[in-house]
Amino acid sequence: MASPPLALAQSPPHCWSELPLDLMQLIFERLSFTDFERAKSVCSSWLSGSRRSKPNNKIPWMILFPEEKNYCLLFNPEDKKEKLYKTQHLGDDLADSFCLATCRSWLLMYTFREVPFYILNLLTLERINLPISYVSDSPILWIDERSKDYLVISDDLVYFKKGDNSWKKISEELSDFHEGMVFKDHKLYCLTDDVLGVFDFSGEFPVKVYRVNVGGCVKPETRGQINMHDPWEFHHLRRRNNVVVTLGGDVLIVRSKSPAMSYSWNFRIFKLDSSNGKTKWEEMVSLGDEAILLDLGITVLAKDQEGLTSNSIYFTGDELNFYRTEIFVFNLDTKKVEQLPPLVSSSVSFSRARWFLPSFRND
Amino acid sequence: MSKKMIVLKSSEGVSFVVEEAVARQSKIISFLVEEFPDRELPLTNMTSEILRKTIEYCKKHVVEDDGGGDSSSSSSGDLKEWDVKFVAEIDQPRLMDLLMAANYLDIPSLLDVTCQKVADTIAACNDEKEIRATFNIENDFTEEEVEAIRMENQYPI
Repeated sequence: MASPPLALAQSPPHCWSELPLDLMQLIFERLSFTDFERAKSVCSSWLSGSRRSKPNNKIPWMILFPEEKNYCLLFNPEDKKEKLYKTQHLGDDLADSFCLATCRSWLLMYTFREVPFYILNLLTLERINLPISYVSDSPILWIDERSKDYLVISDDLVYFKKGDNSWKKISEELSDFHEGMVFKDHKLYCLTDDVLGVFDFSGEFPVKVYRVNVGGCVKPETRGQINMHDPWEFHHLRRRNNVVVTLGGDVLIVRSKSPAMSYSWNFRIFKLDSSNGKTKWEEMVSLGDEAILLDLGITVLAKDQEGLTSNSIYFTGDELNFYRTEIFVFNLDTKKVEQLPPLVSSSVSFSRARWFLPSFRND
Repeated sequence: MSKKMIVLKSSEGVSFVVEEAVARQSKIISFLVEEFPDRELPLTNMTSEILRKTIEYCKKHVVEDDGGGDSSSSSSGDLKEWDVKFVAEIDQPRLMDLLMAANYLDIPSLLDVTCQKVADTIAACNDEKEIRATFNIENDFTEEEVEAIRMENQYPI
């Protein structure tokens, strides 16, 4: 007796358009947003294949808030045509709302209306009003896609979780003057003038993971602002310090300085080295294939990505024009700053722009 | 102790004698050798060429998995490099056959590398025309459908 032959009912396909839908789904799920859009326009069977999956997006997009409009514009740096996508109507109060933070496709918004703080999903239009009446200038937002549990961390080191009645203090140990915060994989990285504190938020209460001295890596922040008492006198240097957590989990301090009222910047990057049981900060000269998104405190893989330059720092500056946020990129190879992208900054009137990492999936 | 061998037969009737451990990378074959021991397994929809490629892949991976038990990081890095080279050498039509073979035989890691190769090939194209040319696919959309997709792409959100 022969064994049952290992055969399928039908003979294997001979053309890529005949690929079974479940295999097409496996392929589509690996494509970035732009490649996904291209692939679904190839033929009708690939279009049906695309309907079963969502793109795997790892590229940050820029969100622009046009003045007095109830929609946003999205810019995908991968897109060679440099076109802007318009979102749906995002609510009547969007025009007088400010975006304070993002978490994937979620925005933390502030408005002058009755319920001042809410979070909004750009893609699904889900909206959650927050029972809080105050948040600092540059807070952190985290939200779980499934349970919709959220966490807001204010930069005076208090946090508010879904279900809480009031803000709670993160730690008694850190002074509330800080230079920057990043939240990644349930951990808060918080930089003050002299220490970096790391807190784990995966449990019910934040737990201190470690605290290290930042030595000479951080220099006090100055903003290059006009002195109100003497308008002719400037702070001659703007300085900023940011924490960045890389794709591989390395912790960086990025220090920038720029002469006041100018478009030139210089950046220095220090990496935390905790090998051999000792901690020290080492200056980094190259980011390799990655690029830093300074405002999000993360790095992304920029190698082979259209529209993103590796070994560079993407950042925003609002010192020159208070009502606009402009986006720049500093190339560590050439040490030059460019304004980005030319189309976005020239032809559309918008007040604020920021990077975010859109997620098209529910996981 | 000699290793247990099994026979896999291609659609052309060519027999391949393979160590059982190698063939067991396929979940389907693994199931069949338990149900039907000491039999040759005819794979009537796999050409000798594709079967040879599939066996080559499985041989490489079974060696690496056996060696050391908890394969060290360097060997898993080497394996990744080997996989990249393996799929790079495969041309477009055979890539589809291999992808289908990985799917039929249920070899998850081979399915993963072949799907990734297709995705990378799509990503290397500049527009849908180039994708069609690369994969030899005909555009079967009507003008209305093209317009509908264009509208959808304009407002993707």
